[in-house]
Amino acid sequence: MASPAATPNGKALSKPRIGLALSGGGFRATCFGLGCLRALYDQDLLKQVQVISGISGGSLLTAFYAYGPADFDEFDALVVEQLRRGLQLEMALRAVRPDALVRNLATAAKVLAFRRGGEPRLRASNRTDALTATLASRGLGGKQLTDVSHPGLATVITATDLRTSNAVRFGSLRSSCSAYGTIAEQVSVTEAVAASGAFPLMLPAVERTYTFQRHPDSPGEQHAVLLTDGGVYDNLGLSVLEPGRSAAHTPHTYEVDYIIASDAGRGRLPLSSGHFAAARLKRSFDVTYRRSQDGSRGRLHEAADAGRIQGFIHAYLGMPDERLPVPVVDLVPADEVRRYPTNFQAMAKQSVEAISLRGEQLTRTLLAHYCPDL
Amino acid sequence: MTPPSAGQLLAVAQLHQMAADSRGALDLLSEPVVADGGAIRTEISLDCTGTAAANGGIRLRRRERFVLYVGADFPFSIPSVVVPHRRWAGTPHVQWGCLLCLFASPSVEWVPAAGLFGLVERLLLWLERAALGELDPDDQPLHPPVAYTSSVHGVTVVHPDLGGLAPYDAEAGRGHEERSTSEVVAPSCRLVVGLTLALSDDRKDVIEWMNREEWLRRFNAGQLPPSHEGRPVGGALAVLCNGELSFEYPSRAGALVDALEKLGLARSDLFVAIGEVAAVNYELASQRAPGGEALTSFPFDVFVGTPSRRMPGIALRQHLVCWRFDDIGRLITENINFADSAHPALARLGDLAQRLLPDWIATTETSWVQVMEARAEVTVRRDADSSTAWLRGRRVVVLGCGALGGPIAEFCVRAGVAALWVVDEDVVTPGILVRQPYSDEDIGVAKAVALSERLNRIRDDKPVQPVIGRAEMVLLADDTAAPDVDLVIDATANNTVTSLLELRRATRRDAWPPVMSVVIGHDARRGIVTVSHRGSTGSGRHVMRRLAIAGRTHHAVRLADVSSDLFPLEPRATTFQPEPGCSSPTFIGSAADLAALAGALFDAGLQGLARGSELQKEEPMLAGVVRLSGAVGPPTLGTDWFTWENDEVVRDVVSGYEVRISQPALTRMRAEVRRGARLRGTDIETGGLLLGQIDDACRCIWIDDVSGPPPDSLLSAVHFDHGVEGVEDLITHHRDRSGRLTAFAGMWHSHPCGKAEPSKTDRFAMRSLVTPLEKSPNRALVVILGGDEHTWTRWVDGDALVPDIFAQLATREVTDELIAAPPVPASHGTTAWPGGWRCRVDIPGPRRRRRLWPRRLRRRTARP
Repeated sequence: MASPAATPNGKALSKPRIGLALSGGGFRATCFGLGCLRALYDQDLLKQVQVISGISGGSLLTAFYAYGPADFDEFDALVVEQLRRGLQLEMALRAVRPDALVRNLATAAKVLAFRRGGEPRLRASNRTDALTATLASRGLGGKQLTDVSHPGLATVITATDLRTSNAVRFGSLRSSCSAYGTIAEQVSVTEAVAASGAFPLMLPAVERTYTFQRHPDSPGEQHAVLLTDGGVYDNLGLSVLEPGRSAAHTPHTYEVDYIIASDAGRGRLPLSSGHFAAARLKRSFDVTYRRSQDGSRGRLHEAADAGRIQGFIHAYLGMPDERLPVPVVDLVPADEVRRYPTNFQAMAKQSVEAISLRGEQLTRTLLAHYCPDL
Repeated sequence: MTPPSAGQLLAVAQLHQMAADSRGALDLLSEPVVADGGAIRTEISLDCTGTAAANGGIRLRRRERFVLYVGADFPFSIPSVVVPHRRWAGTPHVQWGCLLCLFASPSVEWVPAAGLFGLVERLLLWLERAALGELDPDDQPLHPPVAYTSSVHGVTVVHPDLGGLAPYDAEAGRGHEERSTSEVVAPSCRLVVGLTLALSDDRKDVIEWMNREEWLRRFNAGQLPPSHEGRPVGGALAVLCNGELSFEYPSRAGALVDALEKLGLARSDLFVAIGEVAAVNYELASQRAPGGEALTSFPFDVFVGTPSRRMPGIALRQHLVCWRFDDIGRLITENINFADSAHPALARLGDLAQRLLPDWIATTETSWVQVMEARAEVTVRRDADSSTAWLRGRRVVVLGCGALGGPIAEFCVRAGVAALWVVDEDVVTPGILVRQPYSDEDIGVAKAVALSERLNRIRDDKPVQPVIGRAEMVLLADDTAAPDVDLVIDATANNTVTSLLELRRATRRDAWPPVMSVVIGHDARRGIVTVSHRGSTGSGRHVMRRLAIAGRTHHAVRLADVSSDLFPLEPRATTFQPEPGCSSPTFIGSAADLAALAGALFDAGLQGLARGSELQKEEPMLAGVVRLSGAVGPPTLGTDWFTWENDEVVRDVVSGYEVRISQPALTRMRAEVRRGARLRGTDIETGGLLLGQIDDACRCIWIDDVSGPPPDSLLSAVHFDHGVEGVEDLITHHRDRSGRLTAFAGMWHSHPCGKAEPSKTDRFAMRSLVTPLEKSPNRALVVILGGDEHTWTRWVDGDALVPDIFAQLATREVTDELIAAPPVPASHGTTAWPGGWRCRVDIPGPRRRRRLWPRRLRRRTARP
């Protein structure tokens, strides 16, 4: 059953369009999102996904889905392989290779020698670049953002520019930063994913210079951006899918009927003392993420109630089990998976199975409950 | 002499102000004085120098004089503007030769607040256009020539199109479609006869046009009955011209005949034709008269038609005026034809008439009957582009002639249905007059009869036929044939009718016309219309049920008001029974509520019917919710729409029941099959619960949802054994959420790449009917999905919509044989998988690498 908002004559004859948001949260998010994609694949809904927006760990999954094998089983196997192997060891090895070290030292010396205002001196190499190289070796090498494996699929991979404090959105249709305009250059998939996944507490920001255009005809301007984890800006990747975004303010507007969010957030954790700086900082990030996500989710629930979108599904890893509206007798409990860390270390088989299964269970169950027509 | 009114004083003040401010552009030539009839008369002159002129335009002098007549009710009446000369007579928009027609549409163009300022502004614009000859431009509706009608003659209504009878049509098939007013064509006239009925002394209707030969042939062949349905029949002559006479029809008959002669109609020919028609009229009148001799004959009319344009770009059509002969003229014309009589007295009378006619024509004044056009060729239906256009020429049945059926039937008649049947078993009672379209004199009369009589008065062709009786018995008596109509409207709000309709329609859904159902809530604040296109799975009962489920489940917010109003979980505590005794409970609502709801629901339903064929195929079932203002609920503009795809319909050959598997249920079965393939292998069977409802009246089983295998199920390549873990909870959840509309209906399982039919073990299971429920029902639906490798793979991969499906309503048999020798499942000894979500029965949680010191710490603190 569908429920067109317009008159029965006014409705376009097409399958409903789905926007998919894959949240950040390291491999926990990648793995939870994989379960979500499995649920959509089983329901034959993946082909209706018109735009997929990923953050950090979600952007990794976005990249493997959008730019990896077109066959779902192959894609599934490839992602599981990455989760089991992990990225961190290879990144570490790449970061300490002699050529990388030399470049890094040279940049540091220049920064010290010419410290002044204006455009920053860029570090030519850092550990996030090692992430880029690692991703390239895992099947995403040589792909540009336009090279999607599923025809018509739009991708959005969001990073945060620490200089302008704006989002930089990379995608198959366009890449842009609202402060400067559209990026004229081709951007590689690995570069976008690495920037989006550069969690500030773990990896240094990626420094890049792009040519930006305000309008298609305007001359390009060079600007440097300092890119870090997209989750700083919007850890669910939902804001780009919100209905009613004005094309006058952002080039990233996507018309969708349903929005499905895979959210690997862990939910409220037990009380913490936060006596030490690192713990305090970590805790602060948790709170900030949760607060901004609450706003985004609230707006989408409102949009669904008002009929501006037809439905909104929020598959939330940290959701209290008793809040699931349908009884699932063998549900993977939140407590079994919520403490899994948000890094890119190799995952145990059991962890992969449990986290992905919870993602699949929540997505299937909530879809059937709230959007049975989809 | 009456003193000037306040409005007239205002006009005088405005005139003085204009004269003072205009620096000579407007001069007041005479002081305003109250003239006869109470209007004040004043003369002004306007400076017309510099006004652009063109050929064909009026010639303006340096100054032009105008006489204004301002009525006592100014500014709420428009002052008349007259010129004190006849130089502009014959110009478009100049009537009586001197009265200027300034406003084409006075009700919107005349602005009382602007007063005489606005009038003078308009006059200046008129003069500009007149000087350029643009008063009658090609892109405006043509101002037809004016005939000043007299109300004493009543009216003449013209129904049939003239079409090809118009003179410019006759030529080489091209004719009026391509001709424009600017084209010069040789003048010519055609004479035709209009067959006319006298409905009353004040109204005559032309019902057919024919040429003169046909008129005489029919009369001579006795094919012109003197009366039709009790109404006198006669003829009227029509002179159809291809040129314009003048801007005003002449006030004297002589001038008119002269003008027609200039357009190519010899007056002798005209007189002969007049005689022919008048003589037949007299004969017909004599046949009607009791004594065989007519004392009062049929009024004699001559229509004059001139080319006129309805709107820019539209073809020229005949503009008709109607000249009514006075009694002397009629008597003369009726006798002309006797001139050829063999009877000497009659011949003398005829000669006399022939000699008198030219004299009478020369001296008499033309007198005009008001022509009311009903010709399709010159009129545009006021409902042309509305949703009711779908109904034109269709055959419709309305079941129920009550609060909704009554107005809807009327909408159908006004919209131009070809035939309408109205079905109801009740009679009109006094209580319903408050809101149903009946009158006091209808009390005690069958509603169907009273309604059809009233509606048949709307249209002369009387398209409505009453059917008295219970809707379901009358219409649905024959259970094999589909009704021979274009639309069935169920306005009974009667469960029996709705269920029977559902049952009958299901047997021949491809032959059945579309079905529309309408219901309203208990306080007439909201209503629902459902539309089921031809071939769709279900009609009203089916769609209402799906809407009710949606309102209790995923659309609980959007349809909260509809659910509590129209689909309450508990019967309404207080019912409204307006009359004493065992009268049926009804809703509270006024005629205004019902007019609004019936109109809105029917309009929405028609929009649903008019959907494009692709949409009809994709979503052939619709429900629209209409809310009136004051309804508690989400504020919706217009109709709140819900649409459904067709179900997958499988017939259970044993019970004869129809199994309707919803698309979401089918999709979820496939999702479970896909998931099972990923988890356990493509050849392992899977299955689960069927959730829905069995309707023994409609002989139909609805499957709304399915579940997957519970964790304690056993799944193998040859057998599926349904577990029980969590089943009761799941069924309770669905039953409670849907308000008992969706509950346990049976079980499904797959035969991957196998036949969609029960195996030996399946047959045993169906007879013993072991269900995963504590209180096992004695029957349950068994659905088996299968298909050869091609069919199965295509379905699983999403390339085909359905696999092969077996469905049977199994009933428990308790026999000794079954108890004694249950067949051993063939799966015995093969690998069996557990059901549920996890692929292993127990998956350990993620390994937690605890740091050493907290563990030690804990151990230490645990020590006594």
